[in-house]
Amino acid sequence: MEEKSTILKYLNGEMTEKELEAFKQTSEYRFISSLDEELDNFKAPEYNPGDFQFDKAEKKKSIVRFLKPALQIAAVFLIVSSVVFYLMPRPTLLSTSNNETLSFNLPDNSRVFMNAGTQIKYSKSDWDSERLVDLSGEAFFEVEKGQKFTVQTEIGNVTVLGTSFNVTNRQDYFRVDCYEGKVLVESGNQEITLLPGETAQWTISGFNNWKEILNVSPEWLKGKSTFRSTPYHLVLDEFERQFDVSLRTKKINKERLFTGSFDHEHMEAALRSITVPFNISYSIEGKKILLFKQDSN
Amino acid sequence: MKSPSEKDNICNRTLFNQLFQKLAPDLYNFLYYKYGADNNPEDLVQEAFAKLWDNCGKVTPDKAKSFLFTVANNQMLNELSKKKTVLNYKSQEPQKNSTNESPEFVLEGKEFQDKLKKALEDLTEDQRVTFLMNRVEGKRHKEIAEILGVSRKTVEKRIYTALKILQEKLGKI
Repeated sequence: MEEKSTILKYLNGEMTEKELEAFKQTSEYRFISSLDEELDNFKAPEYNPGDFQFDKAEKKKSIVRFLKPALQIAAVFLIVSSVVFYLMPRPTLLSTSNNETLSFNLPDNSRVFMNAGTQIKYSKSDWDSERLVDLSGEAFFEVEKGQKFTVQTEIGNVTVLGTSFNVTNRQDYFRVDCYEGKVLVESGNQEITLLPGETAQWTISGFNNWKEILNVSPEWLKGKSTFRSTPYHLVLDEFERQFDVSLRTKKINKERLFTGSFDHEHMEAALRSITVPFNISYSIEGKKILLFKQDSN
Repeated sequence: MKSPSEKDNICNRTLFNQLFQKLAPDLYNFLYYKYGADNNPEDLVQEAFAKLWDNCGKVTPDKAKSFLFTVANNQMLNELSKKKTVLNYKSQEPQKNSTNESPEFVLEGKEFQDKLKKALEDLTEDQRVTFLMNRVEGKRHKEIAEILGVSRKTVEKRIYTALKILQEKLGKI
């Protein structure tokens, strides 16, 4: 084994002739010289740099220079547009969860009472040019006199000038009750004008309207839900919303039409109001209620 | 001592071209031995010099070399698609009259070349580039130290370690 320094001396080509003579007798020398020969095959290909291509380099440079102002403009544009977006009027959203009602005033002091499980959307900034409210759920409106006031739902629109009315839109159910003034209701290609005390209702089975209302505001505002020829599943949905419970049914025809009401005060009393007429039994387990047909066992 | 104006200015095209012709081969070899043929050492050389030309006002001639090596190395490291170092070797005819007939070499020809190739690729990048600059390019230790911007002691340590690793892998003598 040769000394490290001796080997390095050889590798750096620093040996005297005499030293080299001695080193050639070692196994290290034989390995290195054989290795050198083999390593020659790994030599990097001959690289001839030629002249530096200035135009190529400058082309790249000029692209960067050209892009720079463009990028600056883009950055400014991005900042401005995000500020505009931030300042831009966005619609006001209000919603109630189950077992919760809410009332508020619109910009023109028209009053809105939201029943449980309801969403309302309107634009404060556009209010002066267009009185427009998006509704999903149920709400009662007391509209101040003025220009056209529109309530939009997925199924139909209600247009008035100044009046009070209730709009219900639950799934494919749409109902408008007019309490005061005159209300124009449109759904699909159907159009109907409601006078005080009149109700228009669209269910999956069709349209009907009647005159019955005697009060000045809907029953639900006084803690009571009333139905007239309403599919039973909508009644159950309303019950779930008012008491924040979940109802399950067994062997019950949920398309049957229900006419009646329930109070929001006592749940079990309310439950009786909607089950007894149909001869339905129930069992309560906390927030879960099972409804089943009485004569099934 | 050069005049300050000449010393501080590589933005002169003639001077820059001279610099290019002088430094490009070293840079090319450095990149080739360090990262292999598959990572486009030629393009990297061009890019590094283009960057130097871009910054010619800010880089003094004595700093140009380390600027180039740093830029090229960083560019290489930034390449997301950096390939594994692959060293190419020339296909060769069996050499009958060569010294590798020494009995200690059991493996010969292609088989040995493959083994050597693998051993070289398994060295660290720094060991490989230092060792090959010495053994293949015939550069002195001091020269390599200058090119790589490390101490001569570091260069010697790398070369010696690389030699011992190869010796270990290719057969004791």
